[in-house]
Amino acid sequence: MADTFNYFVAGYVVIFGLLGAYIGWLVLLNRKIQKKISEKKRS
Amino acid sequence: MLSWNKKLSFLAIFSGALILLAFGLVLFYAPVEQNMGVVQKVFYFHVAAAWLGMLGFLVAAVCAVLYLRKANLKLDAVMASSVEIGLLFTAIANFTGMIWARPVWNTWWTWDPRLTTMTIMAFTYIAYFLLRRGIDDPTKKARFGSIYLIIGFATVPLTFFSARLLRTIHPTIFGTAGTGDMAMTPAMYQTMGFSIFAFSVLFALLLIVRSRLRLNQQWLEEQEALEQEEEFGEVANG
Repeated sequence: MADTFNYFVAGYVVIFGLLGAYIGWLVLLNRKIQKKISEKKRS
Repeated sequence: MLSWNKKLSFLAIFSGALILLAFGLVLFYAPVEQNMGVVQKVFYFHVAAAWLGMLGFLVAAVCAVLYLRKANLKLDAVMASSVEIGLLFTAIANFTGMIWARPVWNTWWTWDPRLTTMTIMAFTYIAYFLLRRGIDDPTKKARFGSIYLIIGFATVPLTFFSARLLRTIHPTIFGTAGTGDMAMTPAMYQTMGFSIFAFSVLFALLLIVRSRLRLNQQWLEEQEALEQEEEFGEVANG
């Protein structure tokens, strides 16, 4: 059987890395929008 | 009655648990393929991501048709979000495919019909966001975007059937058997099915969250436009 463990690890690093980066970006975007909305409602 | 935020928190926990369970099945339940070795296990999330990418583009096309009938800007938020998430999953499918191909095909990339059509599909949907950026008026943006998405959807069946109708080395999992197919045990099918289900729940969660954010962004843009109009009116009235 071929030793392909490194490629397996790389594959799942890419999957969880991309998903994590996108979810993190959504969290930051949400914070930014909520801040702007609360500023608008106050003014 | 639970608030939207609480419902989304529950869905997020449920989705995270499903992804972890699917990963557990990949690690401990699915057997190791004899020829390819452990890299074959990337395939479970690769297939799920490829399916969800195409589902994202399908949802966007359906919303585009509905938008042209109803002209509701909420549908524009859903379709743009669906394309964005579809591209995320397509990127995952493409990169994991390349990682799988390196030890199995002995190359990171080849201009195989499936890989080529998938790349064309991805660039078609990236271009959708370039089109949106070029138009300021929200209704025009949504209308032109809808027409573009309906035409652009042609790339999805082209990609799906490319591995079935054309000469390709890409394995076919469902439907007609091809030359590069892999033999799968019931445990492998179960793991793949569960991975697709887990990714589908994650897709639904991301689509709801992103669409709500886009609607909030739309509201902010409307408020800014109203403020600018008021300022302009005051200046004009002297």
